[in-house]
Parts: sequence; structure tokens; C-alpha cells
Amino acid sequence: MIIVKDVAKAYGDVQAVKSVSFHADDAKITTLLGANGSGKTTTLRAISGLLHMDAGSVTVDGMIVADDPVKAQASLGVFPDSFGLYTRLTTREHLAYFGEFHGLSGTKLDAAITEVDKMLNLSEILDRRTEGFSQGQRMKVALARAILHRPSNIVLDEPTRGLDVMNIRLLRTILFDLRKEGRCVLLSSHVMAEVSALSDHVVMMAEGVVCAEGSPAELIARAGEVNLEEAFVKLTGQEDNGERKVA
Amino acid sequence: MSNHAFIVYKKEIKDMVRDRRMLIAAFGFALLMPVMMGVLYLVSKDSEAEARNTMLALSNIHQAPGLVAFMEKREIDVVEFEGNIVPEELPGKADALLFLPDNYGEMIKQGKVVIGRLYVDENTKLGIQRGREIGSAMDAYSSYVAGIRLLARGVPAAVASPIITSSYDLGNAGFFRQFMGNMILMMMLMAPFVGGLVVAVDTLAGERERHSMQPLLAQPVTARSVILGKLAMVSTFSIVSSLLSVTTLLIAISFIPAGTLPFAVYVNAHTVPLIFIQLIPFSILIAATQLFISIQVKSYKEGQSYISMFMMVPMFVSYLKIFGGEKLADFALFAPILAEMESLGSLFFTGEVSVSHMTSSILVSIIGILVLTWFTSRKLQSEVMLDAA
Repeated sequence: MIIVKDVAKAYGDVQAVKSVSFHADDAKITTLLGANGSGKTTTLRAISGLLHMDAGSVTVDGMIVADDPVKAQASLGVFPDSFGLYTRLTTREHLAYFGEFHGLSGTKLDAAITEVDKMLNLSEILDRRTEGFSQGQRMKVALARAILHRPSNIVLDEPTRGLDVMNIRLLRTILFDLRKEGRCVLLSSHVMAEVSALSDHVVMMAEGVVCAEGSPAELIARAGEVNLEEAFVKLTGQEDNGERKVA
Repeated sequence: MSNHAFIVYKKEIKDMVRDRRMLIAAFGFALLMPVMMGVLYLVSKDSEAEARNTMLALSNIHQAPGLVAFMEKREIDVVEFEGNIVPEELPGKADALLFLPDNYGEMIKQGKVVIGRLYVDENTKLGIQRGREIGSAMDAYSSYVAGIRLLARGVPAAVASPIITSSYDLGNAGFFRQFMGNMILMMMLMAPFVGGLVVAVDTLAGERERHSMQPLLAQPVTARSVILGKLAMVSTFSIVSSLLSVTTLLIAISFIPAGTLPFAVYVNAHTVPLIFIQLIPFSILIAATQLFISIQVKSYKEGQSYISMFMMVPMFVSYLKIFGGEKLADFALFAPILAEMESLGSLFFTGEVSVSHMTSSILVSIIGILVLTWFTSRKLQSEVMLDAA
């Protein structure tokens, strides 16, 4: 379970996140929904222990990230905004490298690799160097890397970007499986159809603040609109040109 | 090394050795260095010229049998030069050209002063030496003729030559020997710079550019472990490059016939381990410095530019020692690179340990490694590392 409370972060004069608070519960898929620059990635980086926050706190399974980021990171599986693969290593070597940081070795590591192979159908690319992989194959390696150690919390930053329909469907199935296993899945997106199809809980963000949160159905009802896209526009006060209406 | 640092190290080594270009860049220098030194030595050596006597080209040679005999006694070969026009360069293999006046024989007979013109070529070290040898032989012949003239007039020759000075070269090493020796030391010290260059850029600036830094930093591993693992990898390349350069150099020297080199090399089972002990901390220091530079930049290209500029440091310091070593204060010889040159030079060319230089060099290296690694680890914790160029 991830609890974000009053998190704020500025980069120089730019206030990327002003005040963000929400819960991402176990056995649920929680989505941060927001336009580009709304503070989603900064929030996810703060959760992943990659940023020093200016204010607020993040708790992962009861551990305060700022106090001991390494301990909190052991409970997280992170799928960052870029795949970041090593082109001279094979998929198996990638998984072994990251698995070892989580204490996996020997037969345990082999078993974990076999499991993600089964889950993501990696057999064709398992012993191939990642150079020249398609976007879908790269996604699979990055996702396998994030879930190899069976973390209780999985954080994914815009996981469907650049993927074709079949890979999006595969990703969706895996995320549902992870939810079924009782894991906390937190992702960010600005693709309405994906958010509607995936999310149990949606956190709408704009200009570094949370504007609304709830299930997709609740948010649509609260906005009195017919779909999530319209509800997002209304609840975040966004104009069609991307500017936010000031109340 | 912590377990996590070792995991990083294993991966980094595997990643780097799979890139053929990196291996060539890292070890090509160490393997080619003896060849480069050999070429440099051959170019500077003038071996063919050294194997023969000094040679003087002389105009009006038939009027100067006494001068010819005097020169030949001094093992200076004399050949005839025809004509009165000064050529653009010395004729044939001559080391100097002496023009005597057309009435040289007559003037000598009459006891007159003869003005000769001596042309030498001081473009090379050998040219300078041989020109001076002929000049001093001419002075000696002049004194000799003066002595005979005085004797003919009943005056003892010693009156005209109250002081006779003989010159002997007491220098342990001439400029050439020093130059070649220091060049060898410079090449040895350049090896860790070259060995670590590409891998140091790739492991931090390259990792940042490829966006693989973020997933790595999101793992339960400290920045210190990551940097230690990477430092160990870059150090491995630097150390191997260093030791390889010494080994190939020693192998190359072993093929050169004894007495051909302009310096003596005292390398044995006792000094080789000391040379390695000296080079290992220095190589790690260079690796730590290269990583420190690499973490400051956003892209591979930028890193390459700065680390290439860093390569100029050992070259500059070595040239400072080669050309201005005499003017350097004693304490300056304890500075990094200079201390290594002093210590290695002592081990290599005298077989003796310069305890003060070796100790200071190792201590400075250890302190440098700790400080630079601390700063590099600290920088890795900075959130700017998440963004590439």
C-alpha cells in the first residue's frame, strides 16, 4: 500500500508538484490521470525514492520512503518513464542483474525468471541481447524487471506509451493478474480509454495538485458527464487549449 | 566490496568486455606502446651515423696534409670538397665542412694567420656533438701549429699553451637518455588514463544518456555501492592497461641487444612487484577521477570531450619534467604524476626504491580515491541524474 501525503516538489522556480495526497491500496489498480506536466512523473519518482521532496511524505507498506529509501525500494517494482535497457546484455542477464539486488540468486533467481517468462512469454527473447528489440519487446523486459522479485507494490510511469494494441492488451492482462494477487498497482497515464479499462481508482491531477479522485464511474457521475474524458476536463478545470480555468 | 557493489561490478565488466571498440580503445595503447617507443627511439638514435667516425669535408685538401694527418690521428675522417661555393647542406655523410683559402699552404709556410670557415649542421643532437668535436680538433691543431712556430723561433711551446684542458662527460645521463627514460615513464603513466577513458564515460555519462540510470537507482541499492562497483570496473581496465603496458615494454626491451639502449634498465623479480604496487593505486586514482568527470556531464560525447582534455594532464606534467625538471622545486616532485615518475624512474633505471616518492604517491592516491569517490557518490544521489541530455 502506498500513501502519499501533502507531497510538494519544485525544480528551481518551477513548482512541479504543489500538494499531492492520495492512497493506492493493495489489490487495486490506481491511476494518476493528468495532462503532460501535471506532476505525475514527479510524484511517481518521489514514491520510488528517486527524489528528495520539499514537503510531505510517502509511505510504502508502512515505511517512510524519505527515512530509508533503500528499504522502501525493496518493496517496490518500478517501471520508469523510459525502459533504460543495456543493449549488450540479454533479457536473462537483465533480469539476473536486477533480481540480485533483491536478494535473488541461484535456483530462486532461475525460478523467478521462469515465472516472468511464463507470464510475459519471453522465451523468444530471453537469451537475446536487447539491442534492436521492438518497443513491445523492450516493454516486456522492463516490466519483467519490475515484477521479477514479486514486489507488493508496482509503480508504472505511462506503461502503454508507444505500444501496439496487442502489447497493450498483454500489459492489461498482467496488471489485472497482479491485482488479483493482491498487489498494489499504481500507474500514470493520460490515455482515457486505458484509464477507464484498467483503473479501480483514479487520481486526477492538474498543475501539481489533485483535483479529484474516485472510481471512474464515481468521477463521471460526480462531473455529470457521459465519459471519463469529459469528466476529466470538467473536474480539472481544463480548457480545450490545455489551460486551466481559474475559479 | 559490498555484495551490491560486486553485483554492479560483475554486470559492468560483462557489459564492457562485450564491446570490441572499448577493448581496443582500452588496451590498444598498452599493446602498441612498445612499438611507438621503438619508433621514437629509432628516429632519435641516428644509429647508422653513430656507427662510423666523424667526417670532415675539406676544401684545398692537397695543401693541408698536416691537418689531414692530425685529424685522422683523432679518428676524424677527412674527405675532399671541391669548389668554393657553400652548399645548402653538408656534402655526403660529412659532419662539417671546412673552407681553407686557396693559398693555405703558402700562408702556413710564411707563418701567417689563416682564416678558415667551418660549417656545421646543428639540427640534430648528433650534428651538434660532431660539429663541436671537429671545432675542438681545429682549436687543438691551431695550438699545435702555434707550438711548432714558437719552437722554430726558440721559444718553448708551453709558453703559448699555459693551460691544457681535457673534457670528460661525467653526466649520468645525457639529455637523450633522460628524454627517452622520461618518455617511457610518461607512456607507462598514460596507460591507466587511456585504459579507463572509454569505459568511465560509458558507465556514467553513457548510462545517463541511455536512460538506464533511473531503473538502476530505483533498486534497493545505495549510490555508494553503485559507484564502488563502477569504480572497480573502471579500475580493472586502468590497472590491466597499466600492467599490460609495463609487461609489453619489458618484453620489448628484452629483445633489444644489451648496450644498444641509451639507458640501463634494472628490472628484476624484486622491482617488478614494486612497480606494480606503485601503479595500482595510481590507476585507481585515475579511474576515480575519470568517474568524477563522467558524472558531471549529461551525455557520452560531452564526457568524452572532458576526459580527453584530462588526458593532457599527464602529458603536460611529463613534459614539465622532461624539459624543466632541473628547475622544479624538490617539493614539486611529490605532486601526483611527478611523484610517480620519480618513484618509477628510480625503480626502473636504478633498481632502487625511492621510499619518500613512493610513499607520498601511494598516500596521495588513496586520499584522492576516497575524496573523489565520496563526491561522485554524492552526485549520484542528486535528482539531476534522472534526466539525460
